[in-house]
Amino acid sequence: VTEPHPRFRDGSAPDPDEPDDLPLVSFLKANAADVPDPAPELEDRLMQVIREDNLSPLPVRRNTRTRHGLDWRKVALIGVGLATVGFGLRQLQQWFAPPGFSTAELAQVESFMTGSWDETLQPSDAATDWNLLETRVHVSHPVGASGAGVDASLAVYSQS
Amino acid sequence: MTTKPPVHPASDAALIQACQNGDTEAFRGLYRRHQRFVRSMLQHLCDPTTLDDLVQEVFLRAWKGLGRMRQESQFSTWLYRIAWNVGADYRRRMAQSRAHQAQLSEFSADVSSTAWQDLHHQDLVRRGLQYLSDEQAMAIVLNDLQELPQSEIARILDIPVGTVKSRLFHARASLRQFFKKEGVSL
Repeated sequence: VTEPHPRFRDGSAPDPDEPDDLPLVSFLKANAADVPDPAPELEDRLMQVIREDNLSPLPVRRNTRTRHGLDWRKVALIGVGLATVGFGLRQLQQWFAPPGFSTAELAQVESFMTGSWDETLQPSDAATDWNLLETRVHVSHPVGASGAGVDASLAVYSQS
Repeated sequence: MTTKPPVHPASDAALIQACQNGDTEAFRGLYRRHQRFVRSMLQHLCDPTTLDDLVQEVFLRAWKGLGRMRQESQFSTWLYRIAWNVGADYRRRMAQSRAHQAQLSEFSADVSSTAWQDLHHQDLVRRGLQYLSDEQAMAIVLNDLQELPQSEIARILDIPVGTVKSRLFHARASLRQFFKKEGVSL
């Protein structure tokens, strides 16, 4: 049983990385049953079934893929999908974006911020601080709607 | 006694092309060229009384599927995959059949009555292969008995080569365990 099968004596074993398996493989090969011959009529019986039952190979499918396996229908679907997603995102952006400011309003805010910053850099005394505090009060409590408070505080700032 | 025509000299590809054009006789050439390997593969998965029927089923499935076969794929790999499917289906059916178990016991008793030692070992190998799962049994049959390269086995079973090696490893371990239980240490 442990005698190596002739097949493996020349080192041509199917799995030479595992020499421990050789006794097992030799045993299997030595004792595997011989292949029984087919019944004499098997071949004719098979051919008769194919002919009489009118079996025919299924028609060859049309190959919609390119040589590199690219399916153009899938590519087109992916393209349409991406375009739809992009259009949808743009629409959402437009719906949920904050309302825009006019150029004049932006310039007014910018000049106010610059003036406030410059003021903090100047040397201060008690009177200046008091004036600055008054200005801040006007800015924090706008007089009216739509930026009227900002206009008022700017007026105080220019007087000082 | 009738004399049969010689094996078809044309290539597999040419015979397949002829079959796809409706030439049933071309299929005879494919049958003769590959039937022996299919038989030897299936005989380890079934009992001898059903071997011819299973071989016929394999070739009938092959005939019906020839139209779908891609020209560049290798016919033998494709055919052996059909054989594997037919053999595995058979084993699943038989695993559910108690009547078959009784039939196998009868068969075992019959063969062990003559030429005791050799037949006992043949019976052990046969039962050992039945002891394995379908996947493990096929790994042993194709690698150890049919001596196919593992890359070819991977193509037939449609699995990675690493999986073939893994199945082989576990199958051999299970077989050793089975044989040891039966009094044969390998």
